[in-house]
Amino acid sequence: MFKHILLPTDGSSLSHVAIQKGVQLAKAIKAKITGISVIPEQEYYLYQMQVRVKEETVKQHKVQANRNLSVIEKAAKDAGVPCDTFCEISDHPHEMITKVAEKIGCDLIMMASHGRRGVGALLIGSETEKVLTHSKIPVLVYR
Amino acid sequence: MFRHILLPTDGSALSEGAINEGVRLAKIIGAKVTGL
Repeated sequence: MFKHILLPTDGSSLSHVAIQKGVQLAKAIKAKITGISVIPEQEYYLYQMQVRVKEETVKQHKVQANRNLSVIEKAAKDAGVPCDTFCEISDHPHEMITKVAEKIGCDLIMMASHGRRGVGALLIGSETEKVLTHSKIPVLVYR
Repeated sequence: MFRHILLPTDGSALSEGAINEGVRLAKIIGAKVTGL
């Protein structure tokens, strides 16, 4: 059965629900979890000429990412599930998610069907859809 | 945790793999399965 579950988070309320469910599943099947938060790289280039704004933006993203990851750490600690977290920088979160999953040997990615961008006109969130399309390991979409 | 898992199949080798994993998961978490 699954031994190592990757839980991506973007801080949205649905990703928090997926985290709780992911931790529950990990506990039930005695798996460990790794939380990941991907910071958009684009922002750095966007603000490259405005150094002050750039630094603040990066700082804000990192603070938010760490806050999102601490939700995973806490949920794992409360459930007694081994946990590790990563904060990565990429313009393409789905690429980073699948790359990290393969690199650290995860055998399941569990993520929410929609993230911060909401339901919109789509049936499934764009990053989740891309992970589903490109991932070589199983993906469990929580909805 | 999940209590009831639907396992659709089209008879392909990959769906057989998914069925095996689904049944293993169901067994560990104490869920029932329905094949379709």
